[in-house]
Amino acid sequence: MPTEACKIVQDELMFLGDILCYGIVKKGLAKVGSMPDIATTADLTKALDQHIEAALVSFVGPSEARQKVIKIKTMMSKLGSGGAS
Amino acid sequence: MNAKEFFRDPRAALMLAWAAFAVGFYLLVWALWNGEEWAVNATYIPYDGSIVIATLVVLTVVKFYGLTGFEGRVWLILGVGMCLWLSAELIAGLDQLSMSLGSAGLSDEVFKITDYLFLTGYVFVILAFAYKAMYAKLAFEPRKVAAIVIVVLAFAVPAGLWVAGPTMASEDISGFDKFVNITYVTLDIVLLGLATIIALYWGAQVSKGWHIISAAILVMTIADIGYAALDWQGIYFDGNFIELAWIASYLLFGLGAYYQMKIHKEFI
Repeated sequence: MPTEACKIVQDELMFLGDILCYGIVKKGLAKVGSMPDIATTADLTKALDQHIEAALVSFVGPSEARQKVIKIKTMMSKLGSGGAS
Repeated sequence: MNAKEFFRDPRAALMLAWAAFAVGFYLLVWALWNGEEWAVNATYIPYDGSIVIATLVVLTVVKFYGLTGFEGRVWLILGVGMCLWLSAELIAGLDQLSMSLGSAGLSDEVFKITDYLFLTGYVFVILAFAYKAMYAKLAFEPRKVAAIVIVVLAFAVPAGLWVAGPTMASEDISGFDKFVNITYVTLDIVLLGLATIIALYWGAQVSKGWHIISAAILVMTIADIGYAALDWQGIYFDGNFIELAWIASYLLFGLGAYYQMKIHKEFI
């Protein structure tokens, strides 16, 4: 079961479709040594910077991707530093 | 993913090989059997084969993305357009085949269906790009817009002079044929505008795969306008080299779609 922070990211990427959404988040977290079940906001922030934003650019372009990432980071910051449930 | 890696993939290699086969086939027909009816009819093999391959690849891409996300729906709408074009091309191919076997071929009324299928296919392809644009909003850049207007005018003016103008002025062709000729050219110009937008905006900022798609549309526009101009002057014939442009266009559609899928596979 994904953490609260991970759910936020997944929900925001769901417009890509479930296969891409879950796949991109999972691979992004794997790159930073984490996984959806244990991902903290710190892990997800790193995953966004290292993988997820680049993936988003290839779908919606740089400005939309940037806005999406900023929105996700803002939503995660409200969860606090942990975010795991 | 660079070009070398991409073309090592069996499906990408097949599309490239089919393009080479088509060029070789048309050259062979021209060099050895120029004007022979069976050889001209045989050009439907590389021709129809190209859209069969491209459509199958696009349907694979639709399956990969699924229908729950916007990208999947973009490719679904584009896939419907390709399927309509495929149906029209196959009907035209079967008509040619049946005539070469001695039958009368399809009636003019039935053959008109191919025009409806082609034109509806264009509408779906245009809709696919419009739908994609709803999600991939990019910053307005006056220089790019100026370039798009120049490219569109560069094609719209000759298309108007050589195709639309003479068509409208003619008293020898039916209202339906006038409608079809003008609609093809109009949709081609719309597609060309889209191709330029895609190349300058999406290809440069979203993904290089869109450069391939825009090349497909550009080649198709040139082929359509070229065909219309030749046909209007009564000098178009089946097996004409201009058909290679349609083959290239279909295969580029397939390659572009496949490239997009490949780069997105790397993200998951």
